Amino acid sequence: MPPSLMSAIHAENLSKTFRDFWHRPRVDAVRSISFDVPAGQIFGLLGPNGSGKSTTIKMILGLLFPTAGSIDVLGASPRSTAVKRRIGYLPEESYLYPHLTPLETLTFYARLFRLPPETARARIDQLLDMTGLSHARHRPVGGFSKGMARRIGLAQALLNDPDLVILDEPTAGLDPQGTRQVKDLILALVARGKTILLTSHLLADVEDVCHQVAILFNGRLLAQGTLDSLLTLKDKTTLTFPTPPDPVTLQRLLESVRAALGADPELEHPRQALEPFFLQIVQEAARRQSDLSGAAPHPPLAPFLRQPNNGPDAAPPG
Amino acid sequence: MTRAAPFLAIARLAAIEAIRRPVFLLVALSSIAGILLLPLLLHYTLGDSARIIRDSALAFLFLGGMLLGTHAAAEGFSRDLRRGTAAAILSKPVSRTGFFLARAAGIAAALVLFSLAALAAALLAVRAGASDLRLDWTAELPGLLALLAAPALAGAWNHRTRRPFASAAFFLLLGLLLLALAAAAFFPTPFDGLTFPRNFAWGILAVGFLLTLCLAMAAALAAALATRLDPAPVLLLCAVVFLAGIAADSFLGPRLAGSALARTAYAVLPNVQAFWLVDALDAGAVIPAAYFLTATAYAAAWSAAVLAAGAASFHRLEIA
Repeated sequence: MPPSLMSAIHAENLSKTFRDFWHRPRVDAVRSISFDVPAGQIFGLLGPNGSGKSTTIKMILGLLFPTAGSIDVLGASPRSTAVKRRIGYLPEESYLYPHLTPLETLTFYARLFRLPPETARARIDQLLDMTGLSHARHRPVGGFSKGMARRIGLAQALLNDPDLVILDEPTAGLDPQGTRQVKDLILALVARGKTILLTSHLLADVEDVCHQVAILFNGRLLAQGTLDSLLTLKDKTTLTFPTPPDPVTLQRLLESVRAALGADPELEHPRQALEPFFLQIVQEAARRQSDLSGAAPHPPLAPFLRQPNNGPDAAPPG
Repeated sequence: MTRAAPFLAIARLAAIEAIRRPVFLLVALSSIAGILLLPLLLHYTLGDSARIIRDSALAFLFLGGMLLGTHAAAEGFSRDLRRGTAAAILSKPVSRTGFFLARAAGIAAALVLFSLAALAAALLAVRAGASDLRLDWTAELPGLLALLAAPALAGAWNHRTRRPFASAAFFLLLGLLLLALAAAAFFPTPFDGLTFPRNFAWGILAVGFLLTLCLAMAAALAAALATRLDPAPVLLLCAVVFLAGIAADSFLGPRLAGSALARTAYAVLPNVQAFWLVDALDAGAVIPAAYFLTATAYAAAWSAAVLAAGAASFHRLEIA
């Protein structure tokens, strides 16, 4: 089976050189990279600023054209409009028309997907609820904070219940609750068989959700693989057990390990991660304080995103 | 939902975005204020006031429309590319050709609305200044009231709802001018007692229609050039091409027989003279329907050729 049928995205020797007005090479943004994004997985594209992540994403979306190499998205050319019907894209900046309200913005995008009006209305309501913006549905988005604009961007990316979701810095500008919600959303989408490609500078977020990552630097692919294959320290083992009741028992345990392995073990108390600790405190405070204004602390996932995956929205006949 | 839904959604958004720009309201208000003030400024002109007001009103329509159309097409397109909204839309199932043509159609629709408002003002102004000796206030007053009330009502609406002022003011201006026209239609002209429909110089609409076709051609050229150039050079090039089009008859006409280059230039340049038929109104002639059809076909063919070139250029444009 060719790779393009097994992979949601298949890039081979992909290069991109930007040229100046006289067609002279100006910048080699991407240099002969090859990678596969397996269908149904979460793939992280990592790298510092200027490493070629956004250029790669724009080639995947058919907005930029490769100078060399090839790229298949869902088995077809990235410029195919049929393929774009199955893609959801959250840009790095939330590109919105400032005079439109969230309702008008989502209605506009629903028309681009030719969603039937009743489906569009239902999904828009659900997505506004999910992003905690129902109360701001009639406010022009030009006055929104970065986090709120990000939420509208996320809503438009999911409007068509896409098979492939491309998220460029999805948690940038979000508070920890919003970040957790986005990560939960990503996991829920992948559980429904969707494929996610994301970029982020927040490596902890990537580590939380990604199955595979590729690391870019200066347009070159430096490392690629599953998180397990890249991060597991095969020459070390962590053994976690309840804290011994007294120092003597602990000393005896350490002695036996030292005797068995001939090396000094490292001793530390495991810590819980900051994110669940923070969320627990905030959620308890929110439960105590009933007069919250602003977005719901943890709005539910939109119902249409919880349904079994029926594939992309088919264009209605006519 | 029909296949045309994405096209219509983009066209509608392009039109609304153009109308929401403050510069659109500024030019529209200035042009219409200029038209409505003509009867007050051009009084006692030895029997020529009606003609001067009519010619000047159509000139306001042409110049204002030219500025609005080319600016909206060039600046709107450039803004979409710069702000990233073009990238966001083209990541959806929208073809580049469809996006480009829908934007151009939206700008053309905004231009038609401007022309409609300007022509309503022109009808009122020409009737108000038809006599050298006395103003017809039954036409002038409703027009001036519409001009003043539109921004005031839009301001109140903006204060109440926080929705954009510029588009509200323009749509109110258009609606109120049409209402003013309808109100004035009930009154006979004060000197010769002409009643509806003879109390307005409807011939202006025919010339206004032809001028609007010419404005749509300019907007098409601006949209095509904007796929590769920034707004300033686009506006400059449009001005040069259309000025050359105005002068084409006198400069290229005598050379057509002997020069292939002159013939090519004459064919490529927009024949603006063909759309400025004010002289026909002077002679009291009726412009034949065949002329309208030919002019419409010419404008459509010229615009289609320019838009096809623009679409081809946009098809290869990299959207960073």
